[in-house]
Amino acid sequence: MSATVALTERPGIRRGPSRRVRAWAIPVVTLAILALLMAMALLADFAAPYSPTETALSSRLRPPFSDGHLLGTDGLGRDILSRVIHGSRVSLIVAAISILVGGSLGTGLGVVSAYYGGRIDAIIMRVADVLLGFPLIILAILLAGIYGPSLNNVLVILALAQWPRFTRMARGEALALKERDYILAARIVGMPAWQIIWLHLLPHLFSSLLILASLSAASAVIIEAALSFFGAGVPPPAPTWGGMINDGRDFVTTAWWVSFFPGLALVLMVLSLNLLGDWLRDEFDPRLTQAG
Amino acid sequence: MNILDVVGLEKRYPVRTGFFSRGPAASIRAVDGVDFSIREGEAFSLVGESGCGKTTTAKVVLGIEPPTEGTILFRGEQVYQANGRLPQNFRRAVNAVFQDPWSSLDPRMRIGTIVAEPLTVNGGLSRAEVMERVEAVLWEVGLNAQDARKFPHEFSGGQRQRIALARALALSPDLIVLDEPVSALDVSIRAQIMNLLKDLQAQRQLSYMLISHNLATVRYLSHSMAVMYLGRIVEMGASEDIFSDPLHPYTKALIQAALPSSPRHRRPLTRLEGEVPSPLAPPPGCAFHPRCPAAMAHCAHVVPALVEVAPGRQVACHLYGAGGTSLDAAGSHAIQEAEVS
Amino acid sequence: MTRYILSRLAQGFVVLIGASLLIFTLVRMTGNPVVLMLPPDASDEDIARVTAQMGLDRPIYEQYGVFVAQMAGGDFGTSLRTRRPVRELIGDRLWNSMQLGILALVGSLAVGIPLGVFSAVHRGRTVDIIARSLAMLGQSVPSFWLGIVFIAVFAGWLRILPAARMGGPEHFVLPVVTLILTGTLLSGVVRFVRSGMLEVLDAEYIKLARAKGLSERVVIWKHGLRNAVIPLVTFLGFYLTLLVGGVSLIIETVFAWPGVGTLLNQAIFARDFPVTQAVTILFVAGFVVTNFVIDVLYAYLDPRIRL
Repeated sequence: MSATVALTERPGIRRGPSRRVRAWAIPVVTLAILALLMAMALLADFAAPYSPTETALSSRLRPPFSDGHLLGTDGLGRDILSRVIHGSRVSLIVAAISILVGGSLGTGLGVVSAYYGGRIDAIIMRVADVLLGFPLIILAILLAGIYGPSLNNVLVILALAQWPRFTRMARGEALALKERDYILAARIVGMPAWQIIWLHLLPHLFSSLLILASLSAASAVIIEAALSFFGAGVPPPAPTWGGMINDGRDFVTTAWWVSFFPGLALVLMVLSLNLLGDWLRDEFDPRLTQAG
Repeated sequence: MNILDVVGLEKRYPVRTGFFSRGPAASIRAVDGVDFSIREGEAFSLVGESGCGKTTTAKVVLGIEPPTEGTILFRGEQVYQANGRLPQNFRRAVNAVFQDPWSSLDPRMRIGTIVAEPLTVNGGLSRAEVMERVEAVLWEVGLNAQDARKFPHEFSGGQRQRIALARALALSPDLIVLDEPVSALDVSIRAQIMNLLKDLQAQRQLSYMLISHNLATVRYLSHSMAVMYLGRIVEMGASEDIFSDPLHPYTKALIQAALPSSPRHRRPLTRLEGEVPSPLAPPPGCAFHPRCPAAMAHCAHVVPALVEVAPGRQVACHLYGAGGTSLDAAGSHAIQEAEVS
Repeated sequence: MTRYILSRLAQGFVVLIGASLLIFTLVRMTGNPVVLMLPPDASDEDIARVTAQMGLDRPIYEQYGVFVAQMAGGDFGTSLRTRRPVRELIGDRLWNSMQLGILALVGSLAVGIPLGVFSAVHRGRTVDIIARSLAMLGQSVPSFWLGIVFIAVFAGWLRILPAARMGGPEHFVLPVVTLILTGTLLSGVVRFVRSGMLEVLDAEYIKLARAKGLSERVVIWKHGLRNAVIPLVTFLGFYLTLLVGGVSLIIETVFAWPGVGTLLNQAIFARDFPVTQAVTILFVAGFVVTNFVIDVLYAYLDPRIRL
């Protein structure tokens, strides 16, 4: 245990109630935003004023605040606000499933890798390293080229993209934990490996998992948007934020709103997830490094 | 029948050479040929400085680290059997208490759950029965039933060792391996724990395998002991015999280094030079010879065998001959001269 | 140490082989390029004939063997679409892509390092908050969106910068700035420098140095920076591979930049196998090499890793 520097000695620390308020503001605000986005996704059919896919060529490229269209319309006359609202569904589904699948798979592999060591460990980590470095966007585009773009494609790619980080984290922590004497004690009385992992290793990983989940969800949303941008994501006419940004490219100088608003929504979601994840990290483990 | 027999135990660890290795380039001989036995109800100690192989031996005895060579017998039955089965009752009858009170208890679990773990893993009891046992064993180590609901961080180091002990006692074992049970505790607490250990041993007729570098603990608790140096036993016998008349130069140095029980005791000091050599490169012949004040030319070439020099007393040292002959006057004189110089 | 290097080298090789196999098969699964090359009314026999001519009907392992042999000899194949050697195609554009990357890197370091230091030293104050917000935004804003917004603002509305393509210095501004601000580059640099500095600022020996009376400036810059360097280097290596892997693809597409990224994009859609393979493998190789260099550097700096 290292000696802690008294707060008063460190330069520039702000003390007082303003700091404390600010500290609590983060999780409250981000969770509120995320809750709002989730509500939006669930109630999209009710919240959106228009159908997201119905085209109306007579009202193409209307600017924001024009009659009935708060955020304007796109090149096919579809209401941008409605499309943005519906687009949140894809992003949320993608985020949720990718961290659930990628996270469980990755954590499981990481813990197994740490506990059993040896060849298994080497193989798992090698594969993880390869995946971390592989240009997944290219892979996604190729897959879309082969099988056609689809939600499944996106989910597969994202699960592939996410699990290595969970594995790395889980393995690192599990390696440190498995030498603890209470694990030894459990082995002595004959506790089977899976039970040791479940009762003694995984609970200690929980806070790190939460942090990583939040941050991974953020990157999942961005990756999905990038894929949609390249046409390798969920195919049209389904509204996705990335796809909408791509649609707006043709009108970038004339109808900026087509790309702008979906991107804004994206930034809002990702920012909330990142802020939440960072806050969690500061709360639970200030020792964690920023690497990786 | 002895509760534990260790025969020809060797444990080597190959040094890692990387992903593409052609067999171990070198090995660390953590344990290099060790034989000892523990009788039912006996408290036996393994003594030595860090790195001499004591903890490794403990792990092997506990059944979680198979030996490279040698046999471990629990009440005459092999512990490491080819089909992976354990001797009858082994898991129940053998348990351990470790050195570090802070890492031996899972910080996220309540004490009750921790102590009950051996019981829940081995099944067969109802929840009520488990709780009963837990409370009984907590009481035995000097804690009370309410403590079962608390978490480890609410207790002091000494209390945590008690909890660890309670966990070890949960299944009513016959042999407990104690790896430096009091070394991490404040000196003032040690006496309490040591007393507790002694009482428990008498009450439950336990066998202990105590591992320690602290001679006071060893002397207080054990009936018999073995001194280890760099993976081998250099002296073994009844504790009192060894403490009153140590034979091996290393044993002598260790005992002299410990504080005498009274300041009035004066003993000639044998200063040990140097440090324990690395297990990767043990000295040839007798591993102790570079530091030994009584080393002879012979010692650098021939590894002394552990031989019985008196009933129940074994030493591995060329000063006492290799054939089990008793000490002659010339030899004893040689030692005294070496001590004085 | 040599053993470590060799084993790392071998592992990198395995990764390369594995990735190349993967790409090779995948690419071929996207369809027959001959179909796209011939006029739409070409007969099946024509298609089959041309396919055989190009050697595309040979079994996969044979094609792979040819491919590897060629690669080893430095021949990256010939583009199916333009008939030019892939090497030339890549060569033309590689420098274009690299320019963006290098400028972005330099810019990020130039801005990020001082920002990171100040934000650490004046922890909690305005500078820190700004720097960290910038870092956070950088991570949360998708590069393609920011690029489009910049185009809309600076080219569409203000008309002071060009919207796309390569050209004079003014063409570099938007893509480089976008690269710096997003894709975790600036944010990464700021964070690593900041956390490295904070570690040092809290450390005991800094207090000691202060007590000794060394100029606070000296203490901060010298020790803090040195401590931040190692994780920063790792991160930069990581970034390089990211850049090479996907970020360049995005930025180049948005700004219609004649670089390797857009080359790849075209190649995929035209089913131009040799180009796709070569560029992807180039990316992977870049990643492997960078990782290798970093690993060796680390092993050199920290002897514990070698054991």
